[in-house]
Amino acid sequence: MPIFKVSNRRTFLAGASATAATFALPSVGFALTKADAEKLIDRLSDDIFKVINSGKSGSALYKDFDKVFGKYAAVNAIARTCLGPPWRSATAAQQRAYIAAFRGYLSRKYGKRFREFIGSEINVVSAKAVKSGVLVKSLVKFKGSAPFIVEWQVFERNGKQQMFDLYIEGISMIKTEREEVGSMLDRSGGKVAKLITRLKTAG
Amino acid sequence: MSRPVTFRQTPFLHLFRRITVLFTALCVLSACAAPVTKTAMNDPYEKSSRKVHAFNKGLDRALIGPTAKGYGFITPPVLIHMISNFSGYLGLPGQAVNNVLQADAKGFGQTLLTFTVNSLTFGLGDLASEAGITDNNADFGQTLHVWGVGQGIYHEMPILGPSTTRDTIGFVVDTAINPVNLLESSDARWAGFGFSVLDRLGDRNQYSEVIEDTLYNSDDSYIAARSLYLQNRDFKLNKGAVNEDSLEDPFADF
Repeated sequence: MPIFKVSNRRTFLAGASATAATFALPSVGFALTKADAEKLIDRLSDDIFKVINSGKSGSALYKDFDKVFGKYAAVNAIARTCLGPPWRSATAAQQRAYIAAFRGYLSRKYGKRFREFIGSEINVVSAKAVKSGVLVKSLVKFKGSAPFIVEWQVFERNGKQQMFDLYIEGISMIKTEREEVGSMLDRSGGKVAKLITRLKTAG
Repeated sequence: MSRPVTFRQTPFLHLFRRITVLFTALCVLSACAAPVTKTAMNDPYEKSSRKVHAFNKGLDRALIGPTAKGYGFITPPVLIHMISNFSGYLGLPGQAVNNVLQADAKGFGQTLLTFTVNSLTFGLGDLASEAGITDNNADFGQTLHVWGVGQGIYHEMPILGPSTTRDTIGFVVDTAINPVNLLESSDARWAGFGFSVLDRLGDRNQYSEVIEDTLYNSDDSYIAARSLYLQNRDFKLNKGAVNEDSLEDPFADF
């Protein structure tokens, strides 16, 4: 049997790499390949474009957009990151209410934004591994105007790939919304409960 | 004997061409913005910049916005595209100079190819981007960045909009090396200027929802515009890709 002919050194190396693989498995980014992330963004952008090309508008559009958002995006992580440290001091009930309000706000705002992509075409161009996952680059082409770049940050948690941030010509959704939520919180006197009320009508 | 090309520049022209920067900054996005921490700190004149911002907003509301919409309403879309293409075409020689100054052979090749291909349409069409030739939009602010010059101070200027010290210097140099502005005929210079204004009005019209959302619906539009400008600028300096160091951490715990 060939297996018995493997030298000790090679057996050791094989064993060592198997051990390393076992330890590496739970770590982030190991199982998430660039190809997986590209596929995810392919499906996500397909779904987004189906929604915006459906001809729906207003609350019907936002509802569909909310579904897509819930299916692909790390809603809780995004909401938490946009709130920052005040997340910690909020009660569990407030955290839940904040996530729900934030999700509605995001669906309205980005539903509106993506609707401007109507009639354009989006294609995944490339992907590269980054610190905490994969960054997927796609190109949006409008007829008769210069194309622009949308980049998607994808990560994996508990075996599930999710979209975390998106960058349109370098402008980050999370950075933008953290700033926006921050100034809303300021105007709510730092009260999370008031911020939640504001979020419900914003976007 | 042909007369030598004279290097005339009207300060007026400088000022007005700078309008374009405000629009560029406002137009590319699809989201408003937040400050990049390291850059947000460098805004020592925030108080006076905020006053300028209020002025610019008023100007957009009263003049620029309505003018852009009027332009978009009366002008056939095909013509708007042609004007936009032509304005971009006029900027290509200056872009090529910056490619050279940055020792960027690939960028220079792209610019040259874009110029050659689009010359087939006299600059009115953008065959190059339809053929998949990437445009690099090199400018002198970027050249300074490549040379190791720091960003300097963020500021907002009347009419001209958000900028940094480095980008303002870059703008002045780009205007000076733009061949259109070196033409002797003032008619030709004004025509070049006119094309770039119409180009920006077209953008202001095309992206009006997003621009107005940023300017008029943001909780703090000064911060939104600043952050939007700096993030987009960072992306351009990084040759059209998000800077990896600025990525958010999905596992951040507070």
